[in-house]
Amino acid sequence: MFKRRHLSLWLLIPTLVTGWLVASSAPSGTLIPTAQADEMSPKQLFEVHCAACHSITLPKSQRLARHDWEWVMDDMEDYGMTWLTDEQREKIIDHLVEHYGRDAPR
Amino acid sequence: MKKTDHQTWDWLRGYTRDHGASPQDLDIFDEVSSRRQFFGKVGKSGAALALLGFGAGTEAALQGLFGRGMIPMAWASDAEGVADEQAKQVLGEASKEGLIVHNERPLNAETPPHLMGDAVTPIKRHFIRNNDLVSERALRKNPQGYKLEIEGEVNNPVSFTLDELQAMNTVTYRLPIECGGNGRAYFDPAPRGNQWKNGAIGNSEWTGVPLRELLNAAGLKDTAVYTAHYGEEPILGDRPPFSRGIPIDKAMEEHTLVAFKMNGEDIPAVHGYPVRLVVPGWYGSTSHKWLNRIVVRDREHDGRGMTGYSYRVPKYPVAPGARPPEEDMVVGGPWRIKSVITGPAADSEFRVGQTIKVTGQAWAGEDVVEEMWVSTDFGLNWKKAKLGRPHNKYSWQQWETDVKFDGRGYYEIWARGVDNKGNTQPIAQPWNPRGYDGNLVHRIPIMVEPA
Repeated sequence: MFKRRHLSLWLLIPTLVTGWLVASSAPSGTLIPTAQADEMSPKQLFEVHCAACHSITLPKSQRLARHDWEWVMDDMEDYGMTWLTDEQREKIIDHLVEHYGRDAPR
Repeated sequence: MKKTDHQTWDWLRGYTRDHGASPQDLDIFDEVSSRRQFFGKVGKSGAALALLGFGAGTEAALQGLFGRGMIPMAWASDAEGVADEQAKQVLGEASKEGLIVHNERPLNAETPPHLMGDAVTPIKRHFIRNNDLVSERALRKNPQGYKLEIEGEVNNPVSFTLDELQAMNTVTYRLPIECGGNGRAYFDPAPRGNQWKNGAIGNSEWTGVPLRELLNAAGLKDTAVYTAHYGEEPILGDRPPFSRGIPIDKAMEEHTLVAFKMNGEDIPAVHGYPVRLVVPGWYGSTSHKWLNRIVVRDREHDGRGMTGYSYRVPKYPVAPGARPPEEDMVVGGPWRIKSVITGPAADSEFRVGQTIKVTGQAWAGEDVVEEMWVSTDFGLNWKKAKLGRPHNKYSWQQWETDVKFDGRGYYEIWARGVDNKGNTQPIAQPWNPRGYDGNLVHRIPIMVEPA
């Protein structure tokens, strides 16, 4: 079936499903264990979830207090942000406050 | 990549199934892919696309799988340095030059003050503000099937093709379009949003039909009080279309245009091809790009960008950093008096005794700039500058003066306008939660060296 597919999509497969293939050979047969997602660093969570819709130069150009970052996250979740656990949301907010908080250097 | 999003999704689903995905995993996949419209729109460009070089559906699939932790690490770590493909395309098409890009997706870029000296802003130097993406029609420059619909509180809903609009009596004006957040970077504490300094304004020459001609053709009912604007742009995220509006009196004002030419050319994709609104003197977000529908309403508009805190300001002054309750917020605009120093450039060096020409632009929303004043001693003394008249109502006005320094040191050139109602520009910025209406005195730092 792959011959009918565009070459570039074929090239994607190793990137996309390396972990998947490993997982599929395991007895559980699941995708990637959820625990692995939780091991992502706060920085990775921020980059991946926010860059799904917009480039992250925008958030990185901000210097906001925690309550403002929480406000932004509320709005982004209303705007259809990729799904987050409460814990992941907190990690992203912590990361934003630490690196792009009101007193962070520009 | 010619595949449709639909085919890509089906293929990916088959692939996940064939490689041992559990029924629960497939349920998640189906839930995510049912939101294909959102992901499909998002997926036309962007970080992942540019980095990996793949098509829309592929990126969409990647996004949908985030919840399962399936993230290519190359993407996560390299996303920052990626040049967005759509941004690259539209910047190239408009031959943009010297703009400061705040954000690639959505694309937002401003003009540095020293490049704002033209009476008519060239396309290459007009700032760019987007809430979402550029329309597919604009990217392809395809007028086929385009029409602008006028409906709502009118006697006869009407629509116009591009040819029909162009066959009407047209007018050409120099009109400022300025983002409501221009000047946000000078608010303290910093509000969220693009950190615009002074350059989110352009004053190009727009050709089109006054909106009132179209509204008259449709016949306004007595109940018509407000407009709602819609365009063809794909929306980022899973949210309603961006849609702002204006009071009917402003819609009927003769300089409010349904424009199809910018500086005599077809409007570039990023500026709204084939047709956009130009609502001079009001927040730029009312000048909807890729315009295809205007709904006349019997009350203030409640589209995305009209409610909550977006493009709204408190109805009373608030302390810096305060967030008043939502019911105390009102729709912002029109713009207040503003000015910018276009020369000399910041951080220029001069000699003691050298004559320095100071140039700039000034504009005042619905009003006219009557005076321009310049200070070189932090506002202790002000000198009146020579000020031109506007080319037409709303157009920015050019001003200039000469200054000279008797001794060495660090100096700042400040500029301040006064409008026909006596309003001037503040030296300390009044604050509001989202950073609108910024009209601080513009300051240019320079160094003066011994002769």
